Amino acid sequence: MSHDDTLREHLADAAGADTFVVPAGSAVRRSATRHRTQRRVVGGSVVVLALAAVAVAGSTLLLPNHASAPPAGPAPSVSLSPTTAPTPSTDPTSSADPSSIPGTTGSAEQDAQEALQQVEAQAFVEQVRFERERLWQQDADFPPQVDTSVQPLLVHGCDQAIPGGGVLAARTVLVPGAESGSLRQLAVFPDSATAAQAFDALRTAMRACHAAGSGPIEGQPGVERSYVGGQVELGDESFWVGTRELVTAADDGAFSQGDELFYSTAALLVLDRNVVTVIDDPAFGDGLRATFVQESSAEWERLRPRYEAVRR
Amino acid sequence: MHEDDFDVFNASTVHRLSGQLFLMIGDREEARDCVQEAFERAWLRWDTVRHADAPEAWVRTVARWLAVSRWRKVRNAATAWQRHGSGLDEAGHEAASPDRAALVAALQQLPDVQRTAIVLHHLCDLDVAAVAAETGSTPSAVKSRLSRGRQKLAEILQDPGTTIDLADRTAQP
Repeated sequence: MSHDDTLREHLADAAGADTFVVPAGSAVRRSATRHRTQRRVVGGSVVVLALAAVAVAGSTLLLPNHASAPPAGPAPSVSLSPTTAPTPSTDPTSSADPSSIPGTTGSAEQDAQEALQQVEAQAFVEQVRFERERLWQQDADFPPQVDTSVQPLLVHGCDQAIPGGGVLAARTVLVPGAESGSLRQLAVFPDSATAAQAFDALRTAMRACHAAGSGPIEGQPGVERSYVGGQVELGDESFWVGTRELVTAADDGAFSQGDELFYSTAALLVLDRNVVTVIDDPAFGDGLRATFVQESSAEWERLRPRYEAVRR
Repeated sequence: MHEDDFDVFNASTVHRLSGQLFLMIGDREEARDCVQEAFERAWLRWDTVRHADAPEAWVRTVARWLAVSRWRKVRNAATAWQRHGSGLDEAGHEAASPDRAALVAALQQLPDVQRTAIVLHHLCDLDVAAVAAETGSTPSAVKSRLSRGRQKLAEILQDPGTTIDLADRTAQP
């Protein structure tokens, strides 16, 4: 028996696949449908509020300030402009489909949709605020240590080839590397993320950012964890934009150029002209794409001039 | 019927995927939850997923990304370790044999990417190119991770209390 076979046998034994108690496919389908229904119920409630909010013209939303500030600190104002809001999703599972509202057509439908986004965002902001305060309370012994010196840089109108995804007109965020600064991250994403998706991911990022600090990972010598986060300046406003966890490792514990960049994900977000856009995993298949380019790669070399120009 | 297709797909893969994810993350309950959630997502997009080149890989990738979500990991870390010490899994099965437990524990000492590469390559029977495609990396990176991971596994498993011998596994893949 080969060593490969031996290892495979040991792994298969350790996996214990047959011992898992799992729901039947029909139960999975019911569960999926139930969760979708719950979202629709929530969406329906929001629509009622949205219709009431139609009359509130030019209302603004409050997003929490950057992570290093106390939770009760002042928050900048962010307006979700209807002209820049994402196109309503055509996903049949979407809870925000105004066409499902009886009697709403034309401009009324559009107004409802816009108001819906406002109310969704407001509810989201409240939830983020609640989560942040709760986490600050719970994590007093493990305070967040976001490196606010890392400043994501925005590049607009950048076209990038995305592996397996063709060429998309995308906005780009370039994030100076944490750690030694020898790496740069480049994330490319299209504009197709819905507001709801973005808000959900922002919530995830907020949680992740507050849930753990930077530093060595217990039990994994030579492995470091850090967060990329910080503020983005957009016009007169400044926002904390979330986090992406970097887990770096090297045999000698040092991190140098050319080493593998090991990462797990939270989410990386950008507030771009008052629209929250999210980078997420392509496996979810909702049009969210991200790619990460190492500084030493050919792709990076191709993008470097643009990056350097932005940095200047 | 789409429902039937999905149910057959689920039944034929869910145990295997749960076991694979368990080795990747080291927590049976979490692995089961993530796989189930991934299947739910697959059902909501079943028209797309069923025509994908590799629906099983789609579910595995989604489950893996769900599992590595930092929030989920942080939230569940404490309970995971508690479960490891319980000696019983969620169904009340006997604790793993010493060798099995040693291998699971050893895998957890590897960086995520090395552990994932080893499970995908040696347990899921994916070749290096397929592992690279599924993890969004390059074949050379996968080879490096496999080599380093197996070397580290061999070092960890040199404990005389185990009978798993991976000493020869440190050779290049």
